[in-house]
Amino acid sequence: MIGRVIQANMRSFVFGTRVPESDVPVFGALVKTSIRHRQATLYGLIYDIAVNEDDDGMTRMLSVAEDAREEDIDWQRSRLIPLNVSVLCVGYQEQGGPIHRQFPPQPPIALSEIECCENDELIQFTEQLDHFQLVLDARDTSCDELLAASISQAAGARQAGLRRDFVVGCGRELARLLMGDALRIERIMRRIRWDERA
Amino acid sequence: MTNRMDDTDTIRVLDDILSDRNPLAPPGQARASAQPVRRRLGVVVGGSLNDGLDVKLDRDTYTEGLAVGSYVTIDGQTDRKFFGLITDIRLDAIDPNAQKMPPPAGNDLLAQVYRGTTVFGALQVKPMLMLDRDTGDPRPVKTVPAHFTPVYSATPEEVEAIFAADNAGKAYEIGQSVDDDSIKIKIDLERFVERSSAIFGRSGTGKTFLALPLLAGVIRNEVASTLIFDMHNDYGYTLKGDKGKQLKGLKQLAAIAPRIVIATLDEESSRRRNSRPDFALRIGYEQIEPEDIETLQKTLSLSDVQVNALFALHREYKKEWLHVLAGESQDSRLDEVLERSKILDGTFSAMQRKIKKLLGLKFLQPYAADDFVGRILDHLTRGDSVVIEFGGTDSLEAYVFVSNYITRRIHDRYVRLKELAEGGSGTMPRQLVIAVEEAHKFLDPEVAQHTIFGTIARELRKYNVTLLIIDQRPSQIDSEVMSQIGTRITCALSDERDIAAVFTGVSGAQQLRSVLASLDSKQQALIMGHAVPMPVVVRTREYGQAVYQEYASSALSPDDRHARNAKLLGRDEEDALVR
Ligand SMILES: Nc1ncnc2c1ncn2[C@@H]1O[C@H](COP(=O)(O)OP(=O)(O)O)[C@@H](O)[C@H]1O
Ligand SMILES: [Mg+2]
Repeated sequence: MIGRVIQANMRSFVFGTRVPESDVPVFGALVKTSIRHRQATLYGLIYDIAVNEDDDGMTRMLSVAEDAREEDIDWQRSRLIPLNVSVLCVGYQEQGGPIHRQFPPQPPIALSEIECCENDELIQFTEQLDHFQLVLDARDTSCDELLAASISQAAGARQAGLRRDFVVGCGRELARLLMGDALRIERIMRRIRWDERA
Repeated sequence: MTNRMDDTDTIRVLDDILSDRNPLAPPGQARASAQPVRRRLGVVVGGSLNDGLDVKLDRDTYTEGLAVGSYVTIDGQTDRKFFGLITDIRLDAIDPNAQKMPPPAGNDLLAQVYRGTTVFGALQVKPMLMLDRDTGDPRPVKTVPAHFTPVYSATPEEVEAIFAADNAGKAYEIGQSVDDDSIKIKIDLERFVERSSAIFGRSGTGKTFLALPLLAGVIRNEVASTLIFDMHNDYGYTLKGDKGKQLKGLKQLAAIAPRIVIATLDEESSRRRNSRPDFALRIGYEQIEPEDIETLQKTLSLSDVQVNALFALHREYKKEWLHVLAGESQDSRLDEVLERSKILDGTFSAMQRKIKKLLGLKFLQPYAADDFVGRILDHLTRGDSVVIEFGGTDSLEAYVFVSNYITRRIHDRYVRLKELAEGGSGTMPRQLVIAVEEAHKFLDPEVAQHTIFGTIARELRKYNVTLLIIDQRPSQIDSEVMSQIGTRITCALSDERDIAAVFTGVSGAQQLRSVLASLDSKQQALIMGHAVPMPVVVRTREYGQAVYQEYASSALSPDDRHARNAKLLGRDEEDALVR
């Protein structure tokens, strides 16, 4: 569990979490939570992580203090001020059913638990790429960046040797969805990073 | 799209990569396509019946493995199968930016992504015919298949079934498909001779090498007798190949040799070449009529007045007219005759000069020992074929004169035979094919009006006589004659006017032009028209040992030979019954 839902609508939700450790949460990661409807699992991609101000203005003061002490900064950081993490809904799965890569029938309710998806889940979810359209439609996010980041992670989750083929497949799906818009495809493809050896 | 491939996909991709059609297949591992599978090429995405169909290629179809001029099949939605000819192969793009800004060098990934999505291969396919749903018979296309109908490469079986499938007995294998040697292309000989046909192509493209075995096929299958005007001495005994190579002429093909008669216009040359002519063709002055010379009006540059004078002389002197004109026999009445016929002295002597030039031809003699042309006609009506060798006689006058002279008499004889047959006395004349090399010399629009060949091309089909025109300049052939040609076999052509001439009156010519343009400079031809169900590009059969072999032994059974000999000896049916 990495956090709980603070607010939600059909397309997206925000959850609160503590200051990030190393790679959780990161931009483009696939996370999951549950919804009431037939106990389905809801999947989403992290598209924004916001650092909040505290209510008493301490952070603001420390940020300009000329002689701020390390202990004060560490103490301030250790207070329970959650990060707001925004997630784009990209699919859901009813218990025992197939994964639908479309908006869920309901949003998650407040304080639903959020978990990170492990590699095998990430691979399974990205076996089909129908959710690309949802991402491309989310114009209020940096959707091209988001796609590139999520494809990079899904490629990295795969075995060495299979990654390139996966990326090519993603590129082709994009080309189809973008009606061959060569400039945009190239821009996205350039942002995808993976390492075939590791 | 999914990046998951099930097993069959994987196998298909592997097969494609290792296919011998893939020019990039790792050497040594390429698999010969074991049995001809129908390879899916792509889907129909647009087009029209007139302009042809647009086919978007599947991503894994290699454009390099395709060729203009090969066939595709399209399974219609209602069990009808369409046959189409690839007339163009194109690289297309959804977004022109991808073409203007190609992926940077070394970015294989992007190229791989673009291929088949943003950019793709496309075919232009001309629908050629449709197989009837119930009988499987070929029918002309009158519609097009629906959007997204899959397109396959045609298999050898499919192609072979179309060409001359229903006339197996009289089918002639003219060559192989250009993109698959195992596909034999056959033409229907009966249809080929039923209407006039033509073999066109630049000099050296293989017209003679194509015509000779084709005529041999016509003779052997007894679909027609042939009369060949052999200007370059190729058809009779030896055919001259490159580098002094000598190949067999018709007379050396054992199976048909007894039915070949060679007549020469130049005995000395024939002897030197050892071409064993059956007889030397001579024409006596008394056998020549003014009409025979009229056909040379343009070649000899005779004026209309002079031509009229020829007829006047003939009226006056009958059979002796040429002797008088040539000054062979002196006639005291000449001055009087000239005056009566209003022929000026100057006209007469100018005419005399021109005619004497013609009469200088060796085979024209004041008196001939025999009616040689009558003999030729007898051979033809009996079913033999005659090659007229010109030997060293290479003047245009000789060529035009002799061929018109003989052909006029054929015309008369066949018209008469046909009329007799229709009146109930006698049988229909046998089909006759008259093959003429350098045909434009007789059939150019000005000459065609006067020569007999124009008439034959236009009307002699009714009398079972057709032409086989072999020529390098189709644009110089009278357009009315061109429009009568049923089957056109066209080797490579380069002159725009010639190309245009070949396609006059052909539907969808624009697309076929690109097919013609793709022909090799030798031994490849586009065949279209009456003798083939749809246009086809062939690599013509190699003329040589393999063909000799087929003609090695006489195909005649002893009985047949007996009957033939009886016929040759002039015995009629009753004699034969007595044997
Ligand atoms: N079917 C063929 N078989 C063998 N050789 C051929 C064939 N077609 C063309 N050639 C070669 O091409 C040369 C030219 O062919 P030819 O028939 O004389 O040309 P054209 O009559 O068109 O001027 C021949 O000498 C021969 O070497
Ligand atoms: Mg020739």
